Amino acid sequence: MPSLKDIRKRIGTVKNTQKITRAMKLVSAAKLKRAQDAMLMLRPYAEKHREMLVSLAAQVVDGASAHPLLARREEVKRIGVLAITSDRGMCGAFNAQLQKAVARYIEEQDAEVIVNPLGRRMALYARKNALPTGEKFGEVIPAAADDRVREITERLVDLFIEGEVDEVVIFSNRFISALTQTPTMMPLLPVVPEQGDDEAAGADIGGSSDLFYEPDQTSLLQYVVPRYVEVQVRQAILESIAAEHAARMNAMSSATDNAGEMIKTLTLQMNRARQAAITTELMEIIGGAEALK
Amino acid sequence: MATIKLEVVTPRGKVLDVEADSVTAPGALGELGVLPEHRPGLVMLGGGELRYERGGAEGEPVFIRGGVAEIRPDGVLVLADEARTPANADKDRAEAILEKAMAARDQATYLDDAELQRIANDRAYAEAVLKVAGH
Repeated sequence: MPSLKDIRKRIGTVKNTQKITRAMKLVSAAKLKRAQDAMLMLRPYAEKHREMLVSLAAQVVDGASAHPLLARREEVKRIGVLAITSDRGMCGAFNAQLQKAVARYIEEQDAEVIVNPLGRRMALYARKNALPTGEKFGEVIPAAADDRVREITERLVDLFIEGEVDEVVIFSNRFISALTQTPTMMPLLPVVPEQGDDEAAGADIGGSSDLFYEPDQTSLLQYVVPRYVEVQVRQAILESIAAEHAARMNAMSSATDNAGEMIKTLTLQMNRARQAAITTELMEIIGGAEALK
Repeated sequence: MATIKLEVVTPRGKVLDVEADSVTAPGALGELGVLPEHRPGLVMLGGGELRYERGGAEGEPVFIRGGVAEIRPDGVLVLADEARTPANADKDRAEAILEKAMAARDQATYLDDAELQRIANDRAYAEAVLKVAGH
C-alpha cells in the first residue's frame, strides 16, 4: 500500500495535469470558433462557384479539350494524394484515423500512389512507414493563408498537367459537427463538374442557353476552373483545421474528466490510508494504556 | 420598377446583398452596366469599384479585386477574390498591394495572361481604394 505522502503527491500531479488539459480545452474551443467561422464564410462562395462551373461546363461542347484540368486520363498510372493532418498531437484519433485511411487507400489502388503530406503528423507517418512521398507541404496552420493555398494548388495542378500524376485526390478530416470528424476522400483533379444535391434547377443561369461571355468562354474557363480547384483545396484545409480543434477539444475534455475521476479515486485511497494510520495509532495508544494498568 | 438582386460573395463571406435599380461592374474589358432584364451571361471581372443605384441614389461602392460575375435578368452575382466596402478597405494594405503588383510587373521576365490579369486587378483595386481614402 502506497504511503499517505505518495498518494498526496500523485493527487498533486494529477491536479496539475488537469489544469493543463482544461486550459488546452478552452484554447481549442476558442480556436475552433474562429476556424469554424472561416470555414462557414467560404461555404457560400464555394457553392456558387461550383454552380457557375457546372453551368459553364454544360455550355462547353467538349469539356475535355476546353481545359486541360477537365481532361480525364484513360489510363491512371499514378495518383497523387494530398493528405491533410494536424501538426501537433493531443487530439484523439484525429490523425491516426486519417493516416489509416490513406494507408488503406494505397493498398486498395492498383495504380501507384504518391503521398503529398500537409501537416507534420502526416509527414512523420509517411517517413516512418516509408510511403512513397512526393511534395512535402509543411505545416497546416500557415497553409490556410491565401498565398499558401495558391502555391499548394499550383503545385498540385503542375503535377497533374506535367503528367507526373494522372489523378489527384484529397484526404482530409471533414468537420461534421463539434463532436464528429470523419476522414474523407475527395477527388480533386481532373475536375468533374457535377451538380450538388440541392441545386438541380438553379444551375442553369436564367434558364437560358443563350449566354453571352465576356471576354470569351475559353478565358472564363481558364479563370473559373483553376479557381475552383483552389477553393476546393482551401475548403479541405479549413475543414481539417476546424476538425482538428474540435477533436482536440473533445480529447482534452475527456482528459479533464478522467483526471477528475482519478483525483476522486486517489482521494478515497488517501482518506482510507489516513484512517488506517489513525486507527493504528489509536491501537498503539490503547495498547500502551492497557499495558500500564 | 423592376429591380435586380445584387450579391457580392467572397471566400471570406458575403459582402453585399441588396436590391438595386442598376449596377456598374468593373469588367476585365472595361466597365459594364447592368439594368433589369439584362441578357444572361458570365463576365470576367477586373479590379476597381462596383457601383449600384437604388431608389435614385448611389449606393456605397464596393472595391473588387478580380473575380467573375454571373448576370441573370433578375440579378447579378459577383464572385470576387476579394471585396471590401469603404469602411473595411485598409489604405495601408492597398498601398502594399499596389507596391507588390508594380514590383511583380517590373521584375518579372515573363508573365502569362493570368498573372498579368492578376497584377492589373491588384493595381486597379488598390488605386480605387486609395482614391476614396483621400490620397
